[in-house]
Amino acid sequence: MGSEPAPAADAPQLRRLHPATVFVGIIRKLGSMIYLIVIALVMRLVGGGEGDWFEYFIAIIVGLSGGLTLTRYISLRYGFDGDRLVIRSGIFQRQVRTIPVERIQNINFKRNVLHRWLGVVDVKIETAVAGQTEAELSVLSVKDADELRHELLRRKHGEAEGPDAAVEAEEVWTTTLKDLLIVGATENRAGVIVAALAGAYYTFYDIAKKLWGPVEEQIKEYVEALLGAGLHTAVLVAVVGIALLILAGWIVSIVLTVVGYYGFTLRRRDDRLRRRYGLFTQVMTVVPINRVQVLRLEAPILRRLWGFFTVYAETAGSAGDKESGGVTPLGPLVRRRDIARFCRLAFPDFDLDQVQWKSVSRLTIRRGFFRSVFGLLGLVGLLMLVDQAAAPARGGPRFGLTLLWGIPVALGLSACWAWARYRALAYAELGMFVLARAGVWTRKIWIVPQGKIQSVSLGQSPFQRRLGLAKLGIDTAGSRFLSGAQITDLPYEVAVNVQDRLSQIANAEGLWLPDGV
Amino acid sequence: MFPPAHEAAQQAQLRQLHPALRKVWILAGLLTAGFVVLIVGVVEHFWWVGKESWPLPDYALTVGVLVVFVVKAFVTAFWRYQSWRYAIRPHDVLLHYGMLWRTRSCIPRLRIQHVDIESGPIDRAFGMVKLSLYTAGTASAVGTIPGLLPEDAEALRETLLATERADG
Repeated sequence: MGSEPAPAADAPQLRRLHPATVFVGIIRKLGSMIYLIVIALVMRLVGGGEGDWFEYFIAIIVGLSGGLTLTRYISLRYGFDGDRLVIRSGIFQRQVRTIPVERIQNINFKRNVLHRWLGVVDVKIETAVAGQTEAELSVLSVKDADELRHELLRRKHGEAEGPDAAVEAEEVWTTTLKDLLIVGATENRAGVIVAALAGAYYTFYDIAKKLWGPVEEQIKEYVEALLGAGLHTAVLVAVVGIALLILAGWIVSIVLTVVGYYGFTLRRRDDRLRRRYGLFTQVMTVVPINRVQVLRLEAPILRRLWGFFTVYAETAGSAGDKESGGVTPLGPLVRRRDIARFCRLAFPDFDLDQVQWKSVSRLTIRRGFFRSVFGLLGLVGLLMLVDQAAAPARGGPRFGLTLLWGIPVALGLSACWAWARYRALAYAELGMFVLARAGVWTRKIWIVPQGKIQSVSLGQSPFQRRLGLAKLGIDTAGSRFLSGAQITDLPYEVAVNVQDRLSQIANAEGLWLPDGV
Repeated sequence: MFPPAHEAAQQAQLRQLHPALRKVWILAGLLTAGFVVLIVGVVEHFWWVGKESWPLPDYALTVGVLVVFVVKAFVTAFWRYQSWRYAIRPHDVLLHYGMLWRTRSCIPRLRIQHVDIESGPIDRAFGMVKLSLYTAGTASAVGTIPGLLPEDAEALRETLLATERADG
């Protein structure tokens, strides 16, 4: 495999990537362009096979990516030099990347089916730099990868941790298949699926039209007949159609979740949580506990009503990396009674059961009401237009009916929504932690240690200013834009007080690690 | 309605930005106006002027857009200037800004990772610079003070960077 024998004391022994790197690189490139390739393939089949442009297309992709990967394979060397990890690469454009060992937070492994077949691992090295993987070694043999991790830990912590340390680590959490089915079933994903299908429809429209012409005529006649039969029938058919789409999306969601998170396990060793999951693509990531910036508890409405939450840990330096940022959960499904215990895995001093939630301003009900009424009345207007269009076909009154039931329903729903939204909004402080809560369709609870607060910002829209309300945003390292902890619609004076206080607290040294995170 | 009464009572000495900043913003606004008017004028000239179907007098649209954008440049420059306040407090940097959507930002001084001082061509024409503060947080530049004299900006930077480990 090109690796030298066991290293002498101080001379940096540089190793190479696994020879399968080139093959894996090509496959990966083809995989990332799969949509383009499928479209090209379909165009080729439908449009008639004139010319070999499709073959050239594939050949160019393979050639380019193969060439690049080959360059990388030939030129890349990595190894430890004292307290640094050194990675050299490149032939024309040479690069030496030096990463001090103490800056390395994580070494994450990823293996999909191809990797497993070839006996290799995709290794990503992370530091605290927001949103990027600092270095990627793709691909190493399993043995080299394990030795890399073993060596890194030895240099960081001075411990002689054997390659089978994973076994010694205490298993703290597993997720059963049933749990995953529940997670997949309670995801609010239907909208995304519908959007994706709509997108696919427009992408393939031209091709579809050729195959579809006569079918479309039929459908048009059918729809006209329906509208003639009355608005209510048309609405019914549309509803059934959408319901079927949602059902399909629901099933896909369940399958994706189960395959994606299969065998989810959490192990702890000292101050690190090791997370392993995946059926086809196996992922292993490490979450250093003292790098956790925020715990986010999230639950779409069905999941919450069923009594479960999903726990996400946002860590510094991983916002852009799906696997270890706030996107992959720390606990895909946690029962309400277990949440407090689970949170203590990351925040040992925190007891969720002791939290006393405080409400925000009641004026938020008014704000929520108007925002909702706008949308719903717009929908009623739309229905009215449809009704009007259909009216000549079926006779009968034009405006009356829709308006009659539309407006009260819109008002009633808005009032209920505004109230539910108010009840969901809350904040709390417990010991060294600040909490925020929001969301009806998707409930979110943020738990922020004081020492992780980077800055606090207060915002007011013109409407909020009129009502004397404000939104407080607590900024931490590693949270993705727009999803950070927020306390919405506090009375302005309360918000200012909280903001000033948190800002002072966050200024106290000794609460965080030397690099400010 | 601004600044909030309790903050005037606090020790925070809320400072305004340098008045020359208004000129910077006005000039930038006028340049934008010129650009937009050029495009609208060209479109109007080639597409609509002289056509029967066009309801407005010739070039009325261009003139109208010109007036709107020039007025906007002046109004926003003054309004935005008025809305800006900042203060260096013992524990944090306080920023107030925003015309319709208002923001009050607190940046703990020990959290500031580094400070940038920069200026565009229009800033330089009036002797202004911008000071940007960076923390380890999500928003890369967590706060930018737009209108300072270079020497004031540098003094501010030294004050802020010297905060390190001096207190807290």
